[in-house]
This record gives sequence, structure tokens and C-alpha cells, in this order.
Amino acid sequence: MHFVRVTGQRTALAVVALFAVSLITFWAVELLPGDAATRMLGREATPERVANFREQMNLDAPALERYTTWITGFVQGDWGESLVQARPKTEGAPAGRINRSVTDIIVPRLTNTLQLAAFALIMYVPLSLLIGIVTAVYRDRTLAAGLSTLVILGCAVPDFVIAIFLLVIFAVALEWFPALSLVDQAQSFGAELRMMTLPAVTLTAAMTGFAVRQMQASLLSVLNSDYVQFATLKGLPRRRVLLLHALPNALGPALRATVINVVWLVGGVVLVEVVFTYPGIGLLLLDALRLLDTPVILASTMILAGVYVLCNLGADLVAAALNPRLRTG
Amino acid sequence: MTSAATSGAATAGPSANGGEPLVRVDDLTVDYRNDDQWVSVVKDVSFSIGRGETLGLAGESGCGKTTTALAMFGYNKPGSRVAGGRVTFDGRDLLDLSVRQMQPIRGARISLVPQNPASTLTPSMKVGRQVVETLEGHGVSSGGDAMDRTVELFGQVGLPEPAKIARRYPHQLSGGQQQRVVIAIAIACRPDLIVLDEPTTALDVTTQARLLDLLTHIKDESGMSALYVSHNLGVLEQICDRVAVMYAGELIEIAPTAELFNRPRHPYTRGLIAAVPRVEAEHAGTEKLRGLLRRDDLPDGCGFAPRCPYSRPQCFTDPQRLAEIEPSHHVACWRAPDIEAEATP
Repeated sequence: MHFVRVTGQRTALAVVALFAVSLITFWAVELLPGDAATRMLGREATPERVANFREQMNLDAPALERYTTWITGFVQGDWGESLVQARPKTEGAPAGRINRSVTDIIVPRLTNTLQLAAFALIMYVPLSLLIGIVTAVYRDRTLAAGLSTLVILGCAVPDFVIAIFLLVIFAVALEWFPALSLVDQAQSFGAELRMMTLPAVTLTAAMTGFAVRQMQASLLSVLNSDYVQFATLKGLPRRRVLLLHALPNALGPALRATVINVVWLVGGVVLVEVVFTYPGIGLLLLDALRLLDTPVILASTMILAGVYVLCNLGADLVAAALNPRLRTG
Repeated sequence: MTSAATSGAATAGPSANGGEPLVRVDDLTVDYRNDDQWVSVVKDVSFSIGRGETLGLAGESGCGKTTTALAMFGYNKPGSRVAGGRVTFDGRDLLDLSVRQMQPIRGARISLVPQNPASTLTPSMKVGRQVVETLEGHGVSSGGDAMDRTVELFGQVGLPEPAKIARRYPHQLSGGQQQRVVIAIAIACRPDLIVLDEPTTALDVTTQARLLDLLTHIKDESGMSALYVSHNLGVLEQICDRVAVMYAGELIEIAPTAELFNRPRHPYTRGLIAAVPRVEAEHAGTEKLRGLLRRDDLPDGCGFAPRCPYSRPQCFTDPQRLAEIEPSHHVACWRAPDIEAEATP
């Protein structure tokens, strides 16, 4: 079947892309000056200590050998261990392993980031759909024109500016929300939600503008189509024409905008996490880069790239599900 | 906005024969927005359609045919406005009605068969459903009855395996089948008036001929009135009782079909008829149309003057109005009598 074959091809391409990402990331880190030993131990460290650290962490092996070891483990589900984060004393260390495993480090951070992204998406989807529909349907009214202007403004202001504005107004001046979003130390779910609000609003504000414009454009072209005119002249109520004839055919392009947004989220979340000190995968990646903790950098990058690839794949499948032309071949 | 009933309008609509016509269009003017200006695409058009009558509306692309046809629904495309005139349907002025008041009329009493079947049906909805919702929307039937009626309608318009077709999406049907579905929707509620806007133009010749037969058959059986818009005079000659010819947004000639084809009086109509390809060379020697309709370059007088082989300086300055030259034959050309004398040796 055509559909199955295309899905297979896309999946194979996705695997190749991820492999390329791992190669590029590894060699980019190699090119950076220094390594985990020098970053970790600092300038005052004796050469013996540095050499000792390198030997312990297998950093003196050739780069290609280290990459091969890493990728062999990675595809088998063993993501290695951090070069710098020590295993907590209480854990019984298996022989030969001193540091925390990458999986242990990444899972709680990823959970935090996913929570933040989900919170932002829950606000973003209905908001952008609603504004997109309102501005397209009532395009001749002043209200819609005002909303559109606001949306363009939202598109134009960079996300870090939004973040800092929100921080200054709602955390510093009004003190409604905490300035540091240390969700791991939150006492209750309510406190955690409060910590997540400002970063989530920042992400939503940054994504909504683009999605609204896509939704607006695609709905406008559908509203001007022959079939919407025909449905209207069949004497159907306006609401039915909008919900059953226009919207299902306008969602495809809007969905693509959402995918681009989710993909943007992958990068945007890093920035927002840094501004709000939110302990997610973005902040983890940044810390790992500072210390050149290669296994953590690689694992974080692979996860972010994986989300990117999966989103694109998912969008194609959902688009096919919405479009009978693709579904029935 | 449409209450401007000019005094001359009442007599301007040439009708077939006595009795109150089903549709009267009086001095209809529709504007389109072009940057900041409103440009009239339909100018002071008046005609009527009798009960059971089929009126043809001819003219080349861009002459305002479709805009006139859509006015029958009290509908104007986004970016256009009705600047004046009336469309009276069964005694009510449609242009005075709100969208909500129009809803029970659209699709039920006046229905449409548009030009391009491939873009007329909603791609995301099964075709049977698109008929059912029309029936249900107008309270004709609902649920299983509506589905049964749909299958019956599909059989009536000559679709093979109607029950199976009803479960298909538009893209799974051929152009001819799609147009039959559209026709089924148009006749579903047994309308008084069916507006056919180039219903066969997008289809191949064989399909065209079959659909014309179907439309003739449906019309004969149901006795409904029709407005048949086409640039193809050959088709109009086959199916219409009377034919009206439009040029650059104005009606320039209207007459019973046989009369119009035997004695076309307006130079533009003569050119159009001469352009119809025919097996027998009876029209050989008649002047062919020259040039193209250019809306950006219309004179104050007769719009056709720049292309007219018979034009005089006066034609460029004096507007022409429809006038009855023979019983029920109206033409908007002051030179019509001379031209006939000149053209027939």
C-alpha cells in the first residue's frame, strides 16, 4: 500500500537524519577547546590529576574510538554516564562505574520540559485556533483588525524580550509569580503550576502569532473557495458551513504551522528555561556544554532532534488522516 | 441599500408573455472593488423569467454573467456590492432580505449548478452526506429517509450504483459524476428556479452532451424555471426559450431563441452567432468578432463600439438602452435597423 510505503521511507530517512545529528554534535564538541577534565578540574589542577581524570573517563582514547563506543551503546539503550556528575553516595555503584548514568540525569529533566511544553501547548492550540478563526471570519470588523495587529506585534517581539517583560512585571514588580522556576523544589502541585506559568505564557505568546497567521490565511482561502460558496447557496446555516465545510479543509496548513511551532519549541524552550532557571532539558544541555560533558550533550541533542523528526513524521500522518485524498489514495 | 426603485425600472424588464413572471430583475447594478474604487461589473440589467421558462444568458468571459446569476441568490462575492436595482422572486425583493431570511430560499426554492464540479463539492465530506444535509437543512426529509431520497436522486441523475457513489468522496468521482452529484443537490428540494452557470463548460464534449440531455429531461419533467448562463450559443439554442446577451455588464439584446438566432439585431450578437462552429455553412460571410472585451477602456456610449464594424462617432458618446424593435425582441443599438439593411443584400 502506498501509505505504508511512504511511512516506511520517512522513518528510514528519520533514522539517517538522527545518525547525522549525532556525528555532527560529537565532532563539534571535539572541536571546542579543552575537555571535561580541564573544565571540571579548573586551571589550578595538577597535570597528574588531569591525566588521572582522562584515563578514568577514557578521554585519552582516540575520538573515533570514543564515538564508536558511544553509538554502539546508544543504539542498545545504554546512554553511558556523565563525565562530571558523581553518583550519589547512597547508591551502590556497580563495578567500574563511578558517575551517574545519563538516563538518570536526563529523565527527570525531560519530564520537566515536557510538562512545560504541554502546559504551553494546552494554552496555545485553542488560543491560536480561536483567534485565527475570529480574525478570518470577521475580517471586515474593527475587532478582528485590532486582534490581527496584536498578533503581528506578537510575531515581531522576540521571545526573550517577552520573557524578560513578564519577569519584570509579574515576578519582580507585582510578585504574583516566583522569578525562579525551581519546580523540583515545589511544595505542592499548585506551587509548581505557579512556577510554570510565566515560562509557559512566554512560549505560548511566541508560538501563537505565527499559528494565528497560518490559520487565518488558510481559513480565508477556504472561505473564498467554490465549495464554501456552494454550501452557502445550498441554504445551509452559516455555522454549519464554517464547522463542516470550511474548517476541516483549513486545518491542514494550520497543523503544519503547529508542527513548525513544536519544532521551534525545541529551541525556544532552552532559552526560556535559562531565563526562568527552569530545570528542564534545555538548562541541562547548557550546563553540560559548559563542562563539555559529551554523553549528556549527545543524549540531550538526540532527544531534541528526535522530537523534531517525530513531529514532522506525525504531522504527515495526521495530515493524511485529515485529507481523504491522501488516505484513500 | 437596494430600495432605490427608479421610476423607469418597472417597464424596463422585457418578459416573455403576460402573467406575473417568477423572477424580475430591475436595473440591477453590481460593483466590484478595485483598489479604492468601485467599478460596476453589472450595469442596469433588467429581465424576467416566466414560470416554467428557461432564459439563456450569453456573453464572453468577464461580461458579468456569473455576477448576475449569483444575484438571484441575493449573494454577492466578497469584495463586491449591489449598488442598485431589485431582484423580485415570487413577489419578494431578495436584495432586501437578510442572510437569515434568504437561507430557506437558497437551495430550496432557488438552486445553483456552478461551473467547475471539481471545486464545487466539499473535499472532506462524502458526496451522499452533501445531499443529505441539503434535504435536512430545508426540512425536506431527515435521517434514513434523507439517505434513501439521496440514493433515489442519484439514480435520477443517472449515476451508476447510486448507493455506492453516495459513500464516496468527491475526488473519487469523475468530473461528469461530480456534476451529476451537484445537479442532484440542485434538484433535491424541487426548486422553482435552477440557476445553471456554465454547467458543462469544464467537461469534455461527450459528457457535456449527456448532461445537457439530463438537464432538458429534468426541466421537462419538473416544469421548473431556469436561468442558463453560458458563453456557448449552440448550447443555449438547444435548451432555452429566450436568450439574453450581455456585453461589458450590460444587456444588449433579448429575444425568443428562434427569433434571436434567425434575426440577431445587435452587431455583437451577430458576431457571437457567427462564431458558433456549424456543419452547414449558412452563416458564412457574416462578420466575425474582432478584438477582445477590454473593461479598462470602455467608451461613455455603447460598450461594444470600439469593436463594432458598424460604429459611428455617436456610438462612442450616446449610451444605448434596450428598446423593443419587434414584439418581445429588445435590442440596445440605435443602428440596428440600418445594420440589417446593410448586412442582408
